[in-house]
Amino acid sequence: MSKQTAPDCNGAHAAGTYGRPGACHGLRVPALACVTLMLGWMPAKAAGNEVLGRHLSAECTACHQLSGQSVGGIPPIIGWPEDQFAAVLASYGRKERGGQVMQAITAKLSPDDMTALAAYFGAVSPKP
Amino acid sequence: MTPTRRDLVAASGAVLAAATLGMPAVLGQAKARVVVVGGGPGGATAAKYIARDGGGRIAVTLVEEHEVYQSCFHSNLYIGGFKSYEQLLHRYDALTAAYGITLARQRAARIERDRKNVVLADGTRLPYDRLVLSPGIDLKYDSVPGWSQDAEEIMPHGWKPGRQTLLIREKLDAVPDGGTIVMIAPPNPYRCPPGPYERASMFAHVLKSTGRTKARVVILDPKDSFSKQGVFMPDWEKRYGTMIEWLGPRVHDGIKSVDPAKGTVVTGFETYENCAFVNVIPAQMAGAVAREAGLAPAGGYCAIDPATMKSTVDPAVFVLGDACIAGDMPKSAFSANNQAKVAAMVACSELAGEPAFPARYFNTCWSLVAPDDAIKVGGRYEPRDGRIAATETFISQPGESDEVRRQTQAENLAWYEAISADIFT
Ligand SMILES: Cc1cc2nc3c(=O)[nH]c(=O)nc-3n(C[C@H](O)[C@H](O)[C@H](O)COP(=O)(O)OP(=O)(O)OC[C@H]3O[C@@H](n4cnc5c(N)ncnc54)[C@H](O)[C@@H]3O)c2cc1C
Repeated sequence: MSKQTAPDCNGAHAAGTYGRPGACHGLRVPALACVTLMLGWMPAKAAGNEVLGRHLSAECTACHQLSGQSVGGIPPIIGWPEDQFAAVLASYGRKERGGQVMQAITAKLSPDDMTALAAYFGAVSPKP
Repeated sequence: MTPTRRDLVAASGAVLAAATLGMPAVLGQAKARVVVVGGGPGGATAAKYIARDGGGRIAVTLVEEHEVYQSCFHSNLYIGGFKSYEQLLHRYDALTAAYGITLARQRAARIERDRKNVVLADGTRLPYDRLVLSPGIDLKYDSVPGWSQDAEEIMPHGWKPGRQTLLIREKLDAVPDGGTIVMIAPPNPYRCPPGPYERASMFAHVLKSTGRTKARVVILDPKDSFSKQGVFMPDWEKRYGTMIEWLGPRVHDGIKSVDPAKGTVVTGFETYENCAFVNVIPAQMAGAVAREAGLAPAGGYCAIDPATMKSTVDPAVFVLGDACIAGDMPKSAFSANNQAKVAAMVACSELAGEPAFPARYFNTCWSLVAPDDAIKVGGRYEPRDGRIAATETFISQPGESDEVRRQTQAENLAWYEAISADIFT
């Protein structure tokens, strides 16, 4: 059996590349979010644009259930403190957190997109 | 006379006014009307998101001929014994109840695009302001010489759900030790690029785990390469030794014919006689309702505007999922669901004045190679130069640790649960 290099299913030659270098330039954890991560507390405030967040969330809900149910390898993401949500997304964007899917998802999210997502998912409460 | 800047501003104001007037004309009725044909990942998702996000100003009718949706996605896991067939079934009750969607349980016979009607099988006409088509694929029965619709019971495809999927499993169970399964893979573009190779993996897994280690799977491919090939092939060797053999066109020199009665496959290179079973996955095209509406003038699939998912032929019609030409995006349930959300956003903006955002797309295709061993490929996409173009891509690597592969399969199973909920509830 011969071994060949893989074109991905779209014909884009992807092996070994996790996004273009520099694709996530300009993404920085907001200073506040860093503080939140360190201190572990922060009053929740709706800083992000929830309408934008709802739009962007369409990409997330193919894998993360809005019910808040945790299934297998994919964690629930609703009801998180907004600053922590945005900070975690930003760390995927910088590829500090591992995970090919999340790194690709976040590569083109601006800081505003991230806070919008944080606001949207933060306001979703689990179904009883 | 050259128009002044002022004229231009005035003119664009007029266009704007007309556009906004166009909206109340639609809003002048009790509600704007959206008809969706096809209740799969494309259509059902579009129906849900338009009904949910249309601010109560859009009446949505979903036209679907089957009472229960049977997913092709994860049907290979059924064939491999990792899921029951029942786990692939989805009803529409929750969707219609939760979002006030009207379900028309019928076949859409044809589209009258000039009058903006969908004509149902019983003759009922459903008028629409916007139409969403996501009818999936039809098979090109004449694409493999000697094969036909009559032969699909003997040489099944298993590329549309229901009896065909069950037949594949039945035939697999009947393969004797030492028997040969021949799979004829489809040419591009087709539903689920890694699907044939995941299925071959499942064949080998079932044969091996039932002690039929002398049986083999020969894949005859019209393509020179296939999705995730660089990961599939070393994995096959590691998991199944020489049970799976892949032959590209430079080796087999063309699939000349099949003989369903005799179970024979003839290629330019060699002939396979007395095959234990032959899985013919033929060439494909957009579902009939979209083709017959004149939305695929250049051939098999429907061209769309990448910024909106609207047909390039008719701006009142969105075409989603397997039926459309989505550039770098593969034909997958994930893609169809994702494209539906772009179409829903555009429809809600045009018909209900909801905010619009630039289109963005995402897809991941997982494939199970062996128990607890899955691989994936995916990417992010954006409209660029008139097509949906990949901006970031990722793919599993050969030789990843067992833990990574186990995690990838956990993700795959979780994805199925989440996307099913996203589509049908
Ligand atoms: C073996 C296999 C494995 C796969 N695995 C995966 C996977 O792991 N992940 C993944 O993302 N994708 C996978 N796919 C691909 C996935 O199944 C398709 O891409 C997806 O179903 C496309 O969705 P769709 O909405 O375009 O069409 P479909 O799912 O085909 O839905 C079309 C619907 O329209 C209805 N319909 C058609 N015409 C009419 C009409 N005229 N009137 C009324 N109703 C009509 C049909 O009954 C059907 O319910 C797999 C496919 C196969 C074959």
